[in-house]
Amino acid sequence: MKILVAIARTPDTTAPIDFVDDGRKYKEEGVQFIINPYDEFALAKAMDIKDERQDVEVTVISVDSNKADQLLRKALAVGADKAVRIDIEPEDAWQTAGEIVEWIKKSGEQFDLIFTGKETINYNGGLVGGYIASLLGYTYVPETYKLSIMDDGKLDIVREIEGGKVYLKTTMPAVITAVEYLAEPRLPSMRGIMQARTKPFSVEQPTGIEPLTTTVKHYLPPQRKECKLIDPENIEELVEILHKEIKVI
Amino acid sequence: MADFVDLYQYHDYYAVDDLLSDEHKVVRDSVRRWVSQKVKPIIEEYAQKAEFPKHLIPELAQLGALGPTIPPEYGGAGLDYISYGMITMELERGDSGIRSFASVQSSLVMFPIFKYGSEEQKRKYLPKLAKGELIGCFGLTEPNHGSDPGSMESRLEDNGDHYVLNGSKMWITNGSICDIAVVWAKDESGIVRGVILEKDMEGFQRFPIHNKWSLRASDTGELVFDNVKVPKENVLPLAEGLRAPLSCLTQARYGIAWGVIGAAMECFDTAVRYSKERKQFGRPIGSFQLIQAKLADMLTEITKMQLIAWRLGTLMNEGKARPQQVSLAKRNNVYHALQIARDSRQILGAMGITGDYPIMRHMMNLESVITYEGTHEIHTLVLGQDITGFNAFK
Ligand SMILES: Cc1cc2nc3c(=O)[nH]c(=O)nc-3n(C[C@H](O)[C@H](O)[C@H](O)COP(=O)(O)OP(=O)(O)OC[C@H]3O[C@@H](n4cnc5c(N)ncnc54)[C@H](O)[C@@H]3O)c2cc1C
Repeated sequence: MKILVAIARTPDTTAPIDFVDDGRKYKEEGVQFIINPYDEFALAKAMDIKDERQDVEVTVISVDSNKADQLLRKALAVGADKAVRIDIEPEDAWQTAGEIVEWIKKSGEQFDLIFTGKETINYNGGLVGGYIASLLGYTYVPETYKLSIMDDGKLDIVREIEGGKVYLKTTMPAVITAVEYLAEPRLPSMRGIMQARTKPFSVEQPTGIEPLTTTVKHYLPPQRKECKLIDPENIEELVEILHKEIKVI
Repeated sequence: MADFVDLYQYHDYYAVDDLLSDEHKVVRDSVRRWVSQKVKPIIEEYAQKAEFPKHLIPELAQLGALGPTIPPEYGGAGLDYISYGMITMELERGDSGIRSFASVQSSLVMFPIFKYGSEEQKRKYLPKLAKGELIGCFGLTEPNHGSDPGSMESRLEDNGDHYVLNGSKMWITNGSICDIAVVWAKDESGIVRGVILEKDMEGFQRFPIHNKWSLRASDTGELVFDNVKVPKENVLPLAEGLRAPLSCLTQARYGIAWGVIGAAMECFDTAVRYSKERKQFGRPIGSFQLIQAKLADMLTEITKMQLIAWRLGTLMNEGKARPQQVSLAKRNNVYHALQIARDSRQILGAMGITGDYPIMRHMMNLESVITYEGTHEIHTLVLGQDITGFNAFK
């Protein structure tokens, strides 16, 4: 069985948020990057499947500059077999998905399962998985929280939806996007890190898929105004403020 | 996403990360996360009750933090010295006691067995030490001989088919919980030798030291040897003279030079965040010049510490580092880490003395770190001698 896991680089959850280039770009200076947490669950699921079954080969892929190398190394250190990086920082999900699909076609690899996160924690687009599935004609199951491969090769899946759960059955090949705790993320051990040194890691040139959208400007949410406390006895002041300052009554 | 949220942010003012390999960063990230998930949520409680969190040993082993530079054939990970530094830095961000456990096991127990031991000793002990199945300790200091270990009183006597060990060791990290002890004693011709003791050898006793205000989450003990029969195969065959234990200390001190950056950074990071949130006189205290001056000094020292540690690690990897260079790094980095902890504590005011923040614990821990592995003064004398050629020790 062949599994592909697509991972994205996102700022650490505690990283400061600031922009450069007149708001066009995120300020990366001094920021520590991590594997997008949802992709981390996806990777962990691939590792669990590899542990349960024989003959599973896991490839990790990222469309990014060499800033992602550290994250791909980490994926190899937790147990992925091969890493591929398409050497371009993508502008949107279409470009990311397109480059991944072009690489799959070019490499001739037949993946039974393709995992990625439900979205990135910095842009929250949630499109990459869906685009890949449609470009390849694979089944697409978003926001998966439980997955088992049955003896007949079918997939048993649980998805979380607003206020409940859905149980699905489907077939491979499929693209699955992960939510929290699809599997427990793993920490690479020092041994795993050492073993990752000799695993295949290839850097490929992009095929030139154009993005469909360009980012014009980022805005930070406006600073919240300070809370004004008014004495419950002093209704007149409240009315005055609502009337004169906020002008709602 | 985890239950306990660690707000910690690493500070890299001079882009020292550009000098690191991807592998180094993966090592750092892995240990950092482990510390955030497993050490930070519990460490304060263990420090308060003065107990070493023993349940973390198998996890430290699983992570590969025990003997990371030892070759894989003996159970280590075969990583380089900068990776080792990344590990100690992140562990000490959690607590100097956790880092001390790993330092002792790696640099003071596994390293001497690897460097000075026989093939049988290496095969017998190293894999189990790497897996955390055996806890090791290193006995050099004695009640009457700390800075001057050359005057040690512990004695090893040849008794035909075995040796007999007499004496005692004091202030020994992991001392009361150890399964094996690498102990240094003088033979009949006054030469320092190393022996591996096992906890149930007759006449070998271990006692915990209580009432510490520092390294409370670490075990510190006393070892007593009363006519301990030491089989000849338990002597480290290649260790001869004080140089052998000192070479182990060079390894451990190197790890400390990185380790204390973690403690300093944790304190600095906490102080920065606090100074932006805490208001007095109607403004965040971080807007006052006196607070800013402290923060500027701290970041400057942290940046210097990072550069010293990185350069020393590179020299260690190339096999070119001299013990005096390691002394400089240990001396400088521990001293400034302690100052940073004290200044951070002051920035937090009364909150700084509570266990709600990690600062006071780090500050008290660093009082041990500036004393063990060669006191600040002793490293000053090492450097003084290296500069002038004059020995000012005695
Ligand atoms: C928590 C903890 C854990 C430890 N773990 C271990 C361990 O695992 N294994 C081990 O072997 N040891 C261990 N030690 C012992 C440690 O290495 C010694 O405490 C240290 O070497 C200092 O020795 P001392 O305490 O006897 O102080 P002393 O040597 O008595 O020194 C007292 C003071 O005099 C100063 N001084 C001494 N000589 C000179 C001089 N010539 N010129 C100027 N000043 C001088 C010292 O700098 C110090 O300030 C540990 C200590 C602590 C606190």
